[in-house]
Amino acid sequence: MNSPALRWHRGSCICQRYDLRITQRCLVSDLGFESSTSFADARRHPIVHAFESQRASEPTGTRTVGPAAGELTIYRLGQGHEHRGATWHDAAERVLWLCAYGLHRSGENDDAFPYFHGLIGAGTLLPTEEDYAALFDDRGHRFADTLYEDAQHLLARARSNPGVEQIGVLGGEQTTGVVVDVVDTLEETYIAFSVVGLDTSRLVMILGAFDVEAAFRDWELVDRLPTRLTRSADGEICYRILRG
Amino acid sequence: MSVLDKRIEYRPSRPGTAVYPDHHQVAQYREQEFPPTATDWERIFCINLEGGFFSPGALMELIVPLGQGMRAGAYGSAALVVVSTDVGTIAFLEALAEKHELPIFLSSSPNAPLRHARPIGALTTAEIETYGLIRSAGGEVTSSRVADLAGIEVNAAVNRLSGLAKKGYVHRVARSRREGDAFVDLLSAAEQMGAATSDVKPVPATSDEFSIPDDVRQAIRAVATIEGSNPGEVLLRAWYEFLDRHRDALDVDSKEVRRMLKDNDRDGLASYANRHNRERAKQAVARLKR
Repeated sequence: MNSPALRWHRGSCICQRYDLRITQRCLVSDLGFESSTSFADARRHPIVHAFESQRASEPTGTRTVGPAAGELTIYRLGQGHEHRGATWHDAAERVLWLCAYGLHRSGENDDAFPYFHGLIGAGTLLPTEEDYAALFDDRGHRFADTLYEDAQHLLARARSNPGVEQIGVLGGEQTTGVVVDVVDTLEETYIAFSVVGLDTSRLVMILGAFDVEAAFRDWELVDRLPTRLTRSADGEICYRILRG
Repeated sequence: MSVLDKRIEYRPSRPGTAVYPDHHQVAQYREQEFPPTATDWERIFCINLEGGFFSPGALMELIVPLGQGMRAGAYGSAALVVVSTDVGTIAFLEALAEKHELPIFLSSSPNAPLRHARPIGALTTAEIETYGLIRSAGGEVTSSRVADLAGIEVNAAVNRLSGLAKKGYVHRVARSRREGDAFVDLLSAAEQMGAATSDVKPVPATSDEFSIPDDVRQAIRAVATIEGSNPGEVLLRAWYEFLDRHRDALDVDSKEVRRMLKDNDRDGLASYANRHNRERAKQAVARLKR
């Protein structure tokens, strides 16, 4: 089986369906890194390497740490005989966290599993508000870094194939459909994307990236693309702009 | 002007002054006074516990099935107010409401204004704050309005309001995309209609109601049908209303964003994209604690 294409950006390893992240507590206290260490730099640790190789395409393992707890189930991660980790998948935010690390030394006081259970009991295993803020900040930077090129590339494809919807991912996160229709000398551009998980900042940025000369009010909210109705069940909206 | 165009029925009830150690007696009273029947109009049930002495088991028998029925929609669109001044009873009711996730409003007197009734139960801090905003806004809001009042993103406002509606504290009325769905606090709505609790005369259950004036009539969609509606469609209605209302502000934002795109100002763009991250992070963590 081919390993999925991975990219590393700040504190994330970007997989196809989610990001791999390490909680700050785990990064500093368990792995002994500086808090500013990037994911790419942390890969030299065996458990981070295992995190990436074993979880890049499948967010859960086969064995749990503690009892199964639905969406809050913690999974065990192993590397060799002694490296052990605890991972948790937050499907809603599309992120898989490495929450804790320890060495497995059966029967000894510093064995990884009693340590993991202690963290669960103390309520300090799962990611904190700071962890999520760092995740969202990194995603914001990624979005800002790649949005314009992604949008222009997608628009160029749509212009090369008038009347045919072109679908791409903007800023590493926003799946977007674009259709360009040419009528005489006028070019009509349709941009469709879902507002689920979107904020208004990104909406303004997306439209701006497709046409840096067009004011927000130049865009018209419509119910359909030339090729199909918008998928309202998915929270999809569509903007249209007409250019001479 | 209210989105509700039908009567709100106010049903006060008080068990007789007595000691209630018998669960069956209480269950019988509950079934008689509050049979689980849904109506196509809104109702406020008010149980006055003053004068009664309830064993913990009897109080559970009275309140829990009623609250569960409310949350499950067995009573249609309704709110439950419980009146008590006894500290122990209040503490017990709070514990019951939280444990069983019952949408209950506590009041200190049957004559107190309904807007003074306090929501208890499994509410997050953000939901309590949002409920306060709904009341301060007159008892009826849209997601867009709450986003403005709380200074949060429209998706966050939708989440908060949907949470309150799902838990049974507010009622969602579906409207057009341009208007956006309305979220209504029934207690405030009743008062807005000019009927403070003290003015409401308890009358037999078959006819007790007060009507909304004709001039505030608008199309109402039954809450029951809304609960089953598609979340994507609900979100879209909130967004359409928000985009319509904030076109000027977004136009100003757009100008600045396009300048940053032209200048390749990536730090500026990232800073703009990350404006609401703290709020989002709070929400993400709150989800883990539920």
